[in-house]
Amino acid sequence: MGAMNDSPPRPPRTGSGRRLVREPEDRMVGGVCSGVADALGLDVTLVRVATVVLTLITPWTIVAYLVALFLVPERSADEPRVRAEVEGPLAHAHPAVVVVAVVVAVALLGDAWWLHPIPAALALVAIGVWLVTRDRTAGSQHFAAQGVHSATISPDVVDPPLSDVVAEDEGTGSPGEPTPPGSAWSPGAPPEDAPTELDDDWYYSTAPATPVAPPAAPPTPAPSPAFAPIVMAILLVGGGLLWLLDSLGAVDVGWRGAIAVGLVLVGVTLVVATWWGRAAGLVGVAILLALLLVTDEVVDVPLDAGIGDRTVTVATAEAAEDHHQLLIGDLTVDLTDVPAQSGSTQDVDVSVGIGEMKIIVPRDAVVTAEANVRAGDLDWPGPPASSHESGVDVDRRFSLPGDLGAPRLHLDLSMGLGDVEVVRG
Amino acid sequence: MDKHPFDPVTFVLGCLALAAGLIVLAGGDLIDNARVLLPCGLIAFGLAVMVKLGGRAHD
Repeated sequence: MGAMNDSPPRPPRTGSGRRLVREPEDRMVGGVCSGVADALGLDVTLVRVATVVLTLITPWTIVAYLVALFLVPERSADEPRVRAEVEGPLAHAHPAVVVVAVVVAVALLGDAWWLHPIPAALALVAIGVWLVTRDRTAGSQHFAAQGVHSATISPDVVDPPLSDVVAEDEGTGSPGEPTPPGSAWSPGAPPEDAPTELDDDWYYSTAPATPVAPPAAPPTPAPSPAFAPIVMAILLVGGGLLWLLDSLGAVDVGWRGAIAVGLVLVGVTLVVATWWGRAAGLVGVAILLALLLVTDEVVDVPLDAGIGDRTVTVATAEAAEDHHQLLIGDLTVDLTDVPAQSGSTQDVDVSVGIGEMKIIVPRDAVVTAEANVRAGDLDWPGPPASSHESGVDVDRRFSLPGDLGAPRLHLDLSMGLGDVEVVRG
Repeated sequence: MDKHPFDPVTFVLGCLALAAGLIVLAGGDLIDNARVLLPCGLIAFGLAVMVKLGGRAHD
């Protein structure tokens, strides 16, 4: 023990020899970004912004962060915090530069991380595992601290020992005990100029006050277990595994049912936490899951329908029969080149979750349409005049007259949140 | 695990989440049931907050 205390503190390491450690005193999650910034001599905000934006590009960033969380050691208390001294443009780069660079990279890649289901699913599982592990570690530390605070102060553990302090102040001998040679004052013996007769009042008024040991802190009851991290971990791991299996084609997951099961789990946990444990953090999770379900009802478009702006030019009868879908964005379906089918009507189904839908029909086509807009605007041309309707749950049927021999179209239009416009080409 | 005092707000929110999940699992839509679920939930939530505040004042 003595050798450990006598050893000199570790010298600060700078430059290329700087060891990568997680920084405990400057962390948002696990101190990985701070450690990397110190190791590379960069601004920590720069590293954090880069991490967040990189996460938007690829979920592997999350996985890498979690791996670093487990593998990179945390800086110990006896180790001074040091920063590598690096000269160059990156050392003083503004975070906005990184944002711009990443935005350009995203634009070039033209992709988003949620379009890669397998790594995204693995990332969810990893976050769930990390959540459980982190909670367990924090809990053990908390309970350890709890034990120290709630322990009764024992004379054997006080430094100096409580028994010595009390014995010294109260005196070890009786007042009449002779003073040892060389001692100016003996505990328990009155000084020489003291009254010869022992005066109880004098003795008690001039005697040093007996130090009172600080009152032991009242035993704190054991904290209620926090359910929120456990349930969130279950949701993340379960959802990630389902997503993974669904991506691999092993199972066909009904996401609406899966989200509802998660909501039931959260609800049951909240009800249980009414009497036992703590789960206030799950209120936000419940709201999020309920919003997902409501969005699913409003949008009514599969998640893999796509994101972005899309223009579909339909030139054949077969292409017109396809179901044109878009999750988020602007979808234009151009039907001006659809050939006329003698005696038959072509059905065209178009669905957009959130965004705008524009249907261009031939100038002379006979059109009948059923349009449903959960929330937004609906516009269609005349004659006799252009019409406009807006609001919530707009459900409308209309028809546009055309010429004999022209294409006959039946439009089935579904919009979640946004605008629908039907125009003549 | 020690039992702690009853928390009416958590209870109401938990029941609302449970009800919403069960409605969807039963094949219903939240939007269609919102006209019943939302007012009842708001009333229950308000009562729960009042009960909680009343309990604190009593303490």
